[in-house]
Amino acid sequence: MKVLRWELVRLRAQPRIRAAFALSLLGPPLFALVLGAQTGLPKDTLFGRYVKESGFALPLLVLGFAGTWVLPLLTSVVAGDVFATEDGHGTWQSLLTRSRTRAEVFAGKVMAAALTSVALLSVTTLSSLVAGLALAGDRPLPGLSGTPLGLGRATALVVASWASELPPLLGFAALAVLLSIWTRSSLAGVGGPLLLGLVMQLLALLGTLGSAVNVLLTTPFAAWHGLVRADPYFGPLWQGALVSLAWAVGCLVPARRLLLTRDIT
Amino acid sequence: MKRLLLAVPLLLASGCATPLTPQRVGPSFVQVFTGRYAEQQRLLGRDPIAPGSLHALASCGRTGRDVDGPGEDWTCSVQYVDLATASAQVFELQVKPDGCWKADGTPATQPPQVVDPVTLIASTNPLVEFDGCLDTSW
Amino acid sequence: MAAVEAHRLRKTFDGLTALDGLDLMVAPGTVHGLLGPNGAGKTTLLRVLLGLVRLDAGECRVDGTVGGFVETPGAWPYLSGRQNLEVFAGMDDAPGDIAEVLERVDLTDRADTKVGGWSLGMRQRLGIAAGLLRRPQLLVLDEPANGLDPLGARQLRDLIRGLAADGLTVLLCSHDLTEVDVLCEDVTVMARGRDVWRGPVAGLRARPGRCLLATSDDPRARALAPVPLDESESGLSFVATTDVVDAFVLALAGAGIAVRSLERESLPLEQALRELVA
Repeated sequence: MKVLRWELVRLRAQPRIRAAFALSLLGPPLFALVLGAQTGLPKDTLFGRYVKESGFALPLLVLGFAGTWVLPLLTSVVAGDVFATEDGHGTWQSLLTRSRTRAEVFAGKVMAAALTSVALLSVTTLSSLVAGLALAGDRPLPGLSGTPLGLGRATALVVASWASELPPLLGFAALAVLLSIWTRSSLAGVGGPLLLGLVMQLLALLGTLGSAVNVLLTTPFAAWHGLVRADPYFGPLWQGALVSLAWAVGCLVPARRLLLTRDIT
Repeated sequence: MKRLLLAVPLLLASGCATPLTPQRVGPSFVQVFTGRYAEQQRLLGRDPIAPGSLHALASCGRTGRDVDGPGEDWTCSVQYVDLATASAQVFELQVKPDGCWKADGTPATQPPQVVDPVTLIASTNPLVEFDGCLDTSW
Repeated sequence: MAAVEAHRLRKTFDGLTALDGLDLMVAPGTVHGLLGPNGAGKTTLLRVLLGLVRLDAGECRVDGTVGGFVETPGAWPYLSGRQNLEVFAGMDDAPGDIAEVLERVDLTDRADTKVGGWSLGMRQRLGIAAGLLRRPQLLVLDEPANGLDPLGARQLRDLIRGLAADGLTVLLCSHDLTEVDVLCEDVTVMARGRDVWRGPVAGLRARPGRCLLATSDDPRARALAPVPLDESESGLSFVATTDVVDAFVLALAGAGIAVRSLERESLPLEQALRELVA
């Protein structure tokens, strides 16, 4: 897939992509440093009370915070810009007058955005796990079922929890792609998903939606709550994956159509 | 189109009951409470106890007008048997819309720290505050 | 076989008609000029040829691949010139040689600096390089001399001549009539989305132009005039083609009237163009 390969080459050189990787690499250790210097604990977020007891608490604390704000931002910086950037730099005409069809360009760019988002997620996972272990060591973590989780199990569950963010992350990437193609503006492509994410969070916070919050794209970010325990439950995970898939398809189909039929002016 | 988008959540809201009911908060609370209780006893220097051996039961509800849903006015009173003695305690709960809750023990029954009488090692009391989550999926 | 053959092209953007039944015929291996005022639909035509814009109606056939750019060629500022071309080449099935096209547009020395700091003229040349990299049979250039200094413009002309000599067909859209005059063999004049004139540049120049004539005996010359004359302070003023002017001058000479001066009021191409698009 030539488009994918060269899109990755381009993304690697793009300053804001580099900034996103720097944020995901350096953010968790900096956060750990700040926590280490403070006497108080961020008890309002899950696992905040355990960050100095167990090294596995920090990656989950970061996850609880990142899952609602930072992950949509990270993926939007990539996916919300990947199409609109060509409008910004006037490069569509050079790209679309080559041997690749628009459908190939669309597929390549979407895959590049998805792969980059996965890479950002992986870097954040590793970085926060290492930062957590450096801050508090590998003592057992009190799980959400009340009993402590040992080293091996805690590591596996932390990684699985971060991996469970993938479906909604890619759903947000698809949303960003749609806005990026539709508005032809990087600002809307990056800011739009963040704003929509905020609206969805507020809707969920109102508490009046009942179990209807399950159709929101932000809800699957919390599916990991079912994993970090002695007796995991997977309902939210499967449901979140399905909801995310529906969002992704619902965004990518019109996005592809828009790109294939648009006039480059 | 916009009207449709607005209608969808409203429609769903009217048709979807909250999963945050006393019947579901109760078992979730009991599970975490017994786990944390066992941890507290370990920190006090006792041999490991199985959370199931406590035969704990909890009755949860809201003190306000609402019967269910997220809110800061939830309480759970829990009864359990340990060392052949039946005990009861009350915890205040904040239940959040995402299905996670935070329980606070009353300062009278749950001091901030527990100390192992033999080693004199002080630790944070696991029952001062603790969190749990319940399955809110369909 | 024509390099480009387009019939009755129509394109409307949000109710604004850009192309309104345009015909275009470009002979292979020639430099073909595209002239016309702003809003005539030139850029839209180029976009159609590059496949960037979908036609509402009409038929457009291009022989072989098309390369080139419209308006300002784009580039990623955070990549070097060479890296930009590498990405473009990566999306082509059989791209040309990057070093060769860089050499051709005289960018070899600066190729490894980031495009972000480049001048407009350098970006224009990078755009041409990106087009050439496609190894096209037809190269489309939209005001390529924009932002070039006189020396750069001359180098560009030499480049286009060289490309045409290699058998490439070039479609050149330009405001600069001198550029069109010296580079193009054929020209299509557009106005209001239509082609109003097409043919060799020489033919455009041979269209009637305004002449100022001073003779030794204006009243008699007036009687011999083959076209209506206008009053003019400095002599006789009239509009005629080159052929008619030639015949008039010979007739004056035959009648024993000396021609003291004869001048065209303006560049014939510019005047012809003005009349065509009016």
